Amino acid sequence: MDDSILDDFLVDSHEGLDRLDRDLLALERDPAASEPLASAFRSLHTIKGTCSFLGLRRLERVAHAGESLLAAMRSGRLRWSREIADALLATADTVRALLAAIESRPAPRSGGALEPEGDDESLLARLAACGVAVRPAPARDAGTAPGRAARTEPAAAETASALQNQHVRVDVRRLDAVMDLVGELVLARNQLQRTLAGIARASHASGLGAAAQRLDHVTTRLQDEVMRTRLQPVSAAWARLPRLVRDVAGACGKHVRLETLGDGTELDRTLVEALKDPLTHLVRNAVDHGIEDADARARAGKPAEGRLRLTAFEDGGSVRLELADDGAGMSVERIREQAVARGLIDVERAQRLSDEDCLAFVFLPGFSTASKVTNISGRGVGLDAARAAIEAVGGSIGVRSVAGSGTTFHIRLPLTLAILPALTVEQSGEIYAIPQAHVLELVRCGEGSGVRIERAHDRVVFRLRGELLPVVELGRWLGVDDGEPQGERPSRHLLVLAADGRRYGLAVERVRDTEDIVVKPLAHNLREGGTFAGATVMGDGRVALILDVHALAMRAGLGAAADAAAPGEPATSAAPAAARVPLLLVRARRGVRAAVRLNEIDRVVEFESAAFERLDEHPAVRLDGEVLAVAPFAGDPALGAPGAFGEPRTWPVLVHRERGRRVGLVVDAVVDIVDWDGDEVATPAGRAEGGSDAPHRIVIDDHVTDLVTLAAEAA
Amino acid sequence: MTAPALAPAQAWCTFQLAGGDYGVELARVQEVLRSQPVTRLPHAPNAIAGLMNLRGRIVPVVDTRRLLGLDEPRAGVERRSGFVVVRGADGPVALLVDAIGDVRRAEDAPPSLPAAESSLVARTLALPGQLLVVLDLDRALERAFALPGPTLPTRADGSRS
Repeated sequence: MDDSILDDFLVDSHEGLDRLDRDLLALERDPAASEPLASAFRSLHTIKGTCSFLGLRRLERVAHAGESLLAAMRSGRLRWSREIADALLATADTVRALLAAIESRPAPRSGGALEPEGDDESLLARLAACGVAVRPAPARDAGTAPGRAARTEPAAAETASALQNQHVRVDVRRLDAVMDLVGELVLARNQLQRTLAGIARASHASGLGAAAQRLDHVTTRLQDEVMRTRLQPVSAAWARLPRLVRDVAGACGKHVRLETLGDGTELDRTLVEALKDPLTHLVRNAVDHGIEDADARARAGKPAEGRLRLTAFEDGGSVRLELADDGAGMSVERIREQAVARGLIDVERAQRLSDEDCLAFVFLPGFSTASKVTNISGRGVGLDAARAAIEAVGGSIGVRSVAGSGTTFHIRLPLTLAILPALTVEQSGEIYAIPQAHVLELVRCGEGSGVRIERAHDRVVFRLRGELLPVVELGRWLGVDDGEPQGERPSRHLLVLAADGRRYGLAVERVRDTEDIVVKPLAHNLREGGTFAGATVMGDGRVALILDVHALAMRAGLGAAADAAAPGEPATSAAPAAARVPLLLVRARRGVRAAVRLNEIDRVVEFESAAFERLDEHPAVRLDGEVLAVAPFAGDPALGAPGAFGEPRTWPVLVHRERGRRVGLVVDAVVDIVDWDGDEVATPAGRAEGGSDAPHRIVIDDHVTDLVTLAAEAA
Repeated sequence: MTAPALAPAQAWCTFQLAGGDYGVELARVQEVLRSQPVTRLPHAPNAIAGLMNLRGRIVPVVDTRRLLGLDEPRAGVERRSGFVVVRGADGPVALLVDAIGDVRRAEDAPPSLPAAESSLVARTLALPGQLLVVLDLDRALERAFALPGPTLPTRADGSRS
């Protein structure tokens, strides 16, 4: 027998079983619904038909018994009951187990019995007992099964095949290979750009520049398209959750309904895989601990049935998930007490912590406020593991909770994994890359900058707007710093990094650039206990190491103590309205101040007036060998005028990146970086919708300031 | 080099280390390279010189001289210019050597001396005009990745000031 037929059958059947689970649960909610019943019947029928064709007798019998039960219900001879639901779900489980056994069967698959030996009599008896005499499938009936399917469900079969013609099934390994090649192409493109930047004038004359630009454009689009082929709907990660909710709720004697929104939101398949375990854990937790039992809900005036809502949506370059329950919520006071009791924080500090910062403690290992440990959850393992799994793929997780009305977990994930924007820095002659997602801001330190790295006993710290942050000195930490024990090297830069919900400074010799890097794993035997997340190849062919900012913080001794001091720091995923947002204050027109969210800016570069060229009447500058289109910030007419760049001076340009494309915005001057506490302004209306281009007015240092959203600006 | 078909174990890729001749089984050699930039890998085992880019693939580089405990040459006279890329259990590994030698083949089993217990040397061969030290590649690579690295500073600032 052809193995590929068997493989297709296995994939199709798994999909069919997931659908069957969903349909059965839908029937449980509404036993009168005909569509889920028909769909459930079709799923089992298809599996049965193929089994008979492949000679899988055991599977065929089980599927047939389930199908007969469904058929009896379809014809109205039988009414839906909890027993039937349980028996049918058990049927799905048995089929699943048999398929798994066939799948893991040692190669070669051809020849010999495919199915494991076993006895399904108890299941068959249970199905039979559900009200009909289930006839065992007669062997001769089997051959006609597919034909009958075509007769009974012609419309459905046609739609399915029409859909199938538009799709190709591709081996994941082939996709991975294509992805690797695109990664190589991106590196080659970077290299070409770097080389051309060195001979800018010559390339301009020879038309090489234009060709390179086209190559750049095509590469970017190709990268985008290939990434898209790897996308899977996020619902693949939660296909099993309805069943899980039913089982866990059943075991706790609760009624819980799971609603999902945004099932079609797409994510890289690796990320979909990475989501499965954390989601399972969070959902199990929510049903077991989050949602109260029926009595408590009645006392609180809530409906007896608990509600769990899972939402996914795309938000800029990332995907966000929210899991909200309408349960009792977490007691911030309990968490505060626990944190103090465990010595994570002192009483006085605990009182000062905001509720949100307190909640972040639940992600620490071993932290549990569950009053009773059940066999389902509450042992204090899990939330930290869920966080670790999500952070391992570059995501973040946060939690909000309102006592009495429920808890919401927020997860933020990048869209893709393999290629990510990173900031590259130089230290003692080597280049290191830091994933851009972890870089909060760049600060110049040393002479004349007003920022100084200070030493207090054995700690290195610096002051950032009245806050004291620990500093890791990259050169010393890596052991590549060749001496100069006291003297500070000139032109040092500090990166403010966010990892594990804490902030720290990383002192480096020089900041180079931001660029897209292709992440390559390190050899197994070099990975252990390292502070590197991988390596990448730079445009000039050299290898650069990617810093693991979590491991760096942990291993550099900023571990638990620092963690406890600021557990909830810039929990990027937490309530955006309450978090403090760093803003870049600029002067747009002479005298008019405006603010931009710092995370919308890649970096700020200064250009001489002479550097501005005109391309099709639009000003542009050259940056890293690329042509960067620039626009006056906030449509500033004074800067847009033709002669604006006549006067010799330097202009700060804010480099903003959106969907891989960079745009420059010219401002008159950069004023400061400030923290904006979102409370100062009415909640901004949804951007871009309904033409709400008007900037929001906020108050910074007693000045009314326009807050400009760059995404709208650059469009 | 027009040797007749021989068992692969009968051919060696040779290189120089600290003035001596060394070799590995030719069958395990993927390619040899002249000078290449090597990126340091901080905190790595002592015998790991760093990483290099082999056509887009990132390959660990073993400092073969340090692995074998050979003397470091005096400053100024160092001439390390070759890489022998071998197939390891975990993918290719580059051996950093002083100079690439030649491919030597032996028609009959040459007189040889078996290695001492636990040594990284498989045996020493007496080839015409040359004494060749043949490395036990698997053992050598295993040792290279297992050697302890430098002790990590316990704090961000270290304790050197």
